[in-house]
Amino acid sequence: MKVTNTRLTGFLATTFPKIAFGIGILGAAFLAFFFKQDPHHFYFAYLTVFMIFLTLTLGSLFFVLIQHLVRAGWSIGFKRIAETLMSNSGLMALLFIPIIFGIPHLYHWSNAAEVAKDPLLNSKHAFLNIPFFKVRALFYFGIWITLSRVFYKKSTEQDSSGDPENTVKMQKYSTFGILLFALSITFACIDWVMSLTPHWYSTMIGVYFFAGSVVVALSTISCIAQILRSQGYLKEVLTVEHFHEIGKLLYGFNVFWAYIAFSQYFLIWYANIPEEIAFYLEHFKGTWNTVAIFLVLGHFVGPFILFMSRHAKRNLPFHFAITLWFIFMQMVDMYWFVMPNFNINGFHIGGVELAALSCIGGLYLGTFFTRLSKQALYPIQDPRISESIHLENL
Amino acid sequence: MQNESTVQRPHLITPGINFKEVSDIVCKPVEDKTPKWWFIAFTGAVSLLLLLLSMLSYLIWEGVGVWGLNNPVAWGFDIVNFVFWVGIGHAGTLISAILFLFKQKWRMSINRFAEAMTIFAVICALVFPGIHVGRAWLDFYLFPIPNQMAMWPNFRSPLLWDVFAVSTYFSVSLLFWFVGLIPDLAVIRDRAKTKTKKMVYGIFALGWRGANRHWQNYEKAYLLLAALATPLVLSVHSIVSFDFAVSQLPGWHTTIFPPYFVAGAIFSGFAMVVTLMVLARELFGLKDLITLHHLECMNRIILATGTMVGYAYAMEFFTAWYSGNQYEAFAFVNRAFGPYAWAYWIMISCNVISPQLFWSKRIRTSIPLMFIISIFVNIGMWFERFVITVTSLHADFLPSSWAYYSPTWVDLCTLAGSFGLFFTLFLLFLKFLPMIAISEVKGVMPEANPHHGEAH
Repeated sequence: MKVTNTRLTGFLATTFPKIAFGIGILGAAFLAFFFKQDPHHFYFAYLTVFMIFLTLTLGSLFFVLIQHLVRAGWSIGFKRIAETLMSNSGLMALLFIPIIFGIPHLYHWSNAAEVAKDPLLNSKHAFLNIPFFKVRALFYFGIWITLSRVFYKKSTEQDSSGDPENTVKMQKYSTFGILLFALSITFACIDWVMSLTPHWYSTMIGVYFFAGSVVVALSTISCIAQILRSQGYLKEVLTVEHFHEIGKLLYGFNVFWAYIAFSQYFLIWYANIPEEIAFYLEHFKGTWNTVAIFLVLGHFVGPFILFMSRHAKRNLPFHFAITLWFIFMQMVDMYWFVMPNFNINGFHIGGVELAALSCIGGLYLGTFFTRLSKQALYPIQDPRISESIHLENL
Repeated sequence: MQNESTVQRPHLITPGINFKEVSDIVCKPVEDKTPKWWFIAFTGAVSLLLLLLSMLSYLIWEGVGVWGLNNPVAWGFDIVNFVFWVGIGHAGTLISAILFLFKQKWRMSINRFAEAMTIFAVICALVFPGIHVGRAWLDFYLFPIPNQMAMWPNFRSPLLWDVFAVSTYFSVSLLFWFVGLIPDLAVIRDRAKTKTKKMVYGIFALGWRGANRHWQNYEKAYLLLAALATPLVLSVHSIVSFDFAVSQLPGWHTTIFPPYFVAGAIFSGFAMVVTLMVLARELFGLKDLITLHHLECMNRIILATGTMVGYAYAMEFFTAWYSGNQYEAFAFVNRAFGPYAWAYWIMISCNVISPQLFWSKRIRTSIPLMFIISIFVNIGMWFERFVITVTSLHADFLPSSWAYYSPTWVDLCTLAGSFGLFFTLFLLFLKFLPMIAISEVKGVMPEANPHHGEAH
């Protein structure tokens, strides 16, 4: 077996993170400007972009956990990318700080005068109040940072020690890890997104965000793997067979997302109860309706048809295009979920959204590639690496 | 047993068994003299089946008044049993389709068995909507048959979608099962000693000769059916959940119902597979093909899906409070502490608490304990449907009409009788068909690898 370079060097390791950080800082400067102009708009735009990258991070965490839980062998080549993505949970915690300052702008329930007027908000006050909100956020980030640190450390340690015991340990931790993950992502979405419209409720919301986050994470992992491959990395561990496999998983999870999104919408539409349907009425108002239809066609119908065939999944340039498309659709999804609370009458993309995207995105990718260059690009001593290399889709 | 602390893949069947022995083990129950216990069990099952038939005749003769339904509780045992049996019928197709797509090779030893169970469970389920309509002789109106009165079923009702969903599921599952059976039927045909047997199995083997071309078509058909069956596994129970969730009734109307019902269905289906598998491998000496590893894998799935069901219960409870809707909140408090609290706590202890014992490897791999837990799960999942259906209805919007629902002896005997139908079909399956997919098991044995025995 010919082993090429297992370490990221050159442009992606040195210059690119600098450019990304530069863009991030530039974006932050613009954001500061927009913040002065309209703090209200700033916070909603910021939350949208924050949710895009949070779902990516959590989806990657799920990928790592589930691969260990089911003792998967095919995915070893993708694992380090996912591990590095999930390790950005610390960065996400830092990026959460502005949202804490934005609570009065984002969340009605934080306004004591409104709560006093509104019996429904009053009845939720035990859960929806600022101190408890902060404590819960601390818990969520505590869980995510701990899980990602433990798994990242165990995995990178194995690169030098080659101890299969690390894999056994990770398999053990993944069991309760996935429980903590499920509960934390559910309540994080309830807190940060569902409570934007505090009268509205849906038992499905956690599953909805979970499904979207897995789609965006699988897309990003596959997309980055292709970029690295085009630079000559990972060629010995990732072949078209592996992209075919991750493509199947991505396709499946996208259908799952559609299933969850449809069920949630359909049940609320059918029963037509005022406090539930209000959410969809707001999110279908004006041009938001166009966004919603675009989401259905772009997130589900288009990829469902185009990405179904085996040839589509194995055609790497097309596969790459689809992953970029899915990442874009996750942005649209988060935008459609959060922004109608601000732009009530229709969608409108302004400078502040783009500034937030370049700020968080720049910092995110800069941190990602810096961390990626510190370790091997795949777990070189993983006990299942040989199984992974010999993968075939017959 | 393989050591927990290694990362090696476990053997799927006991090492040292060769291809011929696999055929021998699987064909033995079909070819040998029928054991005595089979006749005893079959007599019991047929008696229960007769009980079902007499209950159905009595029902059709007398009318649904013989059931315990009352004014607010118009959906009772009939719907509970329907949902219960459809749920049981989910494991087979999950194992055969979804685990196939996920390349889970351990499914090979158990899929035939589970698929057969699926089909029989769906047959049991189909009995109930047919009698639930009240006038069973008008059942044909369930289908959109053009008629001179231009009367159509209500296409906007999930109850009608159920008719389509369940019958599609049944057809695809049956086809899937049959396609998988073809090579094995040919094996039995080729081994048959009597002419009749050769002819009967020969007809169903569709002229299978094991040619390369046959296998190519077979593999393609199998893959396509797996891809078709996968969304069906999800859709059937999602639509069953719509029966409840599209309403405005607190306790029924909640958005998590579709995936929650699917998880619950897989949970109960796997529990039933474990219950029957533990017995079958003992009675037919299949321990080399269905190893402890298979049972452990199934118990892990029971643990996973049981936890998902627990998650759904918790989300429902949390949201009932969080919604601030007093009717929602009442429905759930009434479930846990109202007149049906006994049913609710049976459900919680069987469905949420008992599968959690499978965290322990010792319990997961202990035959008696997994048998007991799987029965608990079966009971719990029946009660789940009871709790959802009855507790939500019995205290509805109008307090003056609140009433307590109790089943009558007819309800209870019909439930018992449905087990008779299930076990009659199941015992016939055990006697006349290969209960393990011979060719698929051979395909995952190390000897099937073309490089087997070569030095590295």
